[in-house]
Amino acid sequence: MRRQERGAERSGGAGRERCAGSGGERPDAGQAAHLVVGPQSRHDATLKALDLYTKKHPNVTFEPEFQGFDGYLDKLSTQAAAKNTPDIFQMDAAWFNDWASSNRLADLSSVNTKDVDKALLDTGTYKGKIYAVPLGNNALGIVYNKVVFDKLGVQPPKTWDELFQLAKDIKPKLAKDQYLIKDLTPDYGMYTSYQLSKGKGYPRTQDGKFNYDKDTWIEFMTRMQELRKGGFVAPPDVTMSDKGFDAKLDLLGQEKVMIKPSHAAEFAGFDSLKPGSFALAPLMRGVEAGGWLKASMYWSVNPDSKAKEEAMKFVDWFINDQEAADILGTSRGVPVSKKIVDYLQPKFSAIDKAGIDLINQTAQGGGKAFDPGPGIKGGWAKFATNKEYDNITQQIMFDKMTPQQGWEEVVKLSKDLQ
Amino acid sequence: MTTTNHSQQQAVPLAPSEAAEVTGRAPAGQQLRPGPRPKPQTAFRRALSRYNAPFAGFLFISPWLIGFLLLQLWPIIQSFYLSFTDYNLLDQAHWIGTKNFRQIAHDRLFFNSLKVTFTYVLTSVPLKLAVALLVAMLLNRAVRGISIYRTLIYLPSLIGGSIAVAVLWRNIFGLDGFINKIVPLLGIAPKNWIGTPTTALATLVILTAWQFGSAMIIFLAGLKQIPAELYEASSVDGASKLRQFVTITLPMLSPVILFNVVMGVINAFQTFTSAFIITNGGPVNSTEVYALFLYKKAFGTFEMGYASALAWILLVIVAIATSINFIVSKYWVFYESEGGAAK
Repeated sequence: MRRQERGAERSGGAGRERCAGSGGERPDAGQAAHLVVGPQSRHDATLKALDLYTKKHPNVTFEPEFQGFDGYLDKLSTQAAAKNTPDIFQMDAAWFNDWASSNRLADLSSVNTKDVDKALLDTGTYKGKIYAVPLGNNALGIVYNKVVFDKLGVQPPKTWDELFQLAKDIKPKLAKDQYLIKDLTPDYGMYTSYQLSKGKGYPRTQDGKFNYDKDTWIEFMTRMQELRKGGFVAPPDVTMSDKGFDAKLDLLGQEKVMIKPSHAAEFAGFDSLKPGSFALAPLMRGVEAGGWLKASMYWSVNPDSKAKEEAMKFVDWFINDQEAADILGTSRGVPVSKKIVDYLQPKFSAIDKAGIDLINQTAQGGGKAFDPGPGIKGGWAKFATNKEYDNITQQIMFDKMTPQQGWEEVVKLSKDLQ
Repeated sequence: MTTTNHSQQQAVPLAPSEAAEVTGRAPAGQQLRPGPRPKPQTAFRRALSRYNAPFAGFLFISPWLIGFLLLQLWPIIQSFYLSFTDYNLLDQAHWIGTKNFRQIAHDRLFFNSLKVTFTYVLTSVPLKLAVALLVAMLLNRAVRGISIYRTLIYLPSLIGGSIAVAVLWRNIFGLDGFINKIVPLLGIAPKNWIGTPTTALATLVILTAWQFGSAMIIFLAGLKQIPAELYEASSVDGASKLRQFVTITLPMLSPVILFNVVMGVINAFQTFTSAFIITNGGPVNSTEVYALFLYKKAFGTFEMGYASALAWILLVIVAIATSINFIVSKYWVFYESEGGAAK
């Protein structure tokens, strides 16, 4: 084992990888367990970068440990309970607060981050200290079937109103089992975007505030209900069958829907389903932007690590070094360092550029900084995937509850929050 | 062995049967000790002598025993303790008394999971056993090459509980699945069977029924035990096949049926894999069986204390269900050794 090499300073376990679909702000968003081109190329690039670093710093060796995103948090939490996490490991915006507040992450303020966007850096900062270094820029937008849109002569919708209208207008031109969108009723991410676009902020915030806007919520559910009753969105059972990035089950890949939400970094995954068919566009607006900017992923360091200094040096190198950038490219989203982006500019592929365009457009259109939400403490567990909140929205989708009844149930849930 | 030479036994390891006797009479031995060579006895030695032989026994079963104590009994005890705490895997557990249980009493999804689980148990177990019995009777004939048929029919059960079959099932009943190629012939509109709340659980029940193999084998063994004379005698008396089935096969098979029912119910209450892989509890939590609900509490939202409480409730439920099975069995299970009909 490399650990035992004489004098070798260990900076092992770098790069816990999520090998499933990248992006998505929920802990289980990676359930599409298929390796797609983007993530596989990321594995390879990461390994190459580690090799290069070891060549330059013979005192540092790595024991990379790759793992699917499913079950990653379970494993990491168990390791953290034993103060035994790898020296460097991947962090996620959604858990960041829980972790930074409980001494499970090392202070990384000494890493050189002067070329990183401040708003982005803030998402890995807790009480003025950096505990998670963002590795890539990302933004949420929509991915649409450009081939079909061009054929029908339609433009991707710019506002939510246009989306709802387009769903009705486009249906007669599509096949019987084709729709513009799936039923967004149970889609928390899309409701969040809708509420943002109305200027009402995030429904659940990082500081644990229940910020659902009653009128906006009922309006969204009612508008979706109308579309569902009119047959303008995918029926509930079809909506339930969607599995992102799955070659057989992704509704966009099967051309059963024409628009889906997509992070910039996820575009490569969608593109691999039907190369050349899709394009990105910013999320639909209302009075404000509906999209948001976020880091594609973070690295954190074990505070009890013996190789803490070396680990920080490596993270520094990983985000700031040109040679590293040559290898890594956009495998983790658009690099966070502005200098590196400028350096890589001539080398970007069409897919890279589509992602960068989305990020730029989202930023210019006033996209918000991503709010990872309150986590699962203080009663918020009821809002986790497939828990009480999702149960309510799914009941609305299957017409077992009206939007009004659904709202009353949501309010009941909010009463248990601390 | 008398009590007088008790002290001599110290030097010689006891045979287990003797040991039982010694331990049984130890108090008497102390009173009547005036033997030929009294040895000074410390409390420690006495204790040692008392447990000497069983200790050897424990040593022999220690590979299992240590595993049981450390990997089963200890976690069981811990989970009992944790069910009264707010343990979340990351922070220290705090004692919160019966709060978990009080919360469970108001948990809508808990009652939903109970409803789903009972529906599942009450449909899947009878269906599976009926299929198993039917197939066992078909295979209990003297046909050429019967062992090949037996093997082939048992084969799916070997792979039945695996992840691969669950994935297969997901594809069969999915939107583009095989089932949707067949149902239009019957005039039914194709749909995503696992994505519709009213049919999702049924797909899991069918999967369970398909895994009838082990129950079938047990039935087959039971059928072979029924003396052929009974059938011969009854057919002389002019009994029909149906009459034979009801008055001979079922009563003679009833102990085996009871065994299959008990095992089937216990397994069905703990079903997890198929619900986890095929539907992940959805849609609208219509397939969120108890074990899956518990798992999501424990490893989805890290409410370990809450999940431990759920586990103990499940234990009680299964114990009650099994007791009911045994109590009711008095009225329908016929044991030949008791020499009479079921009451």
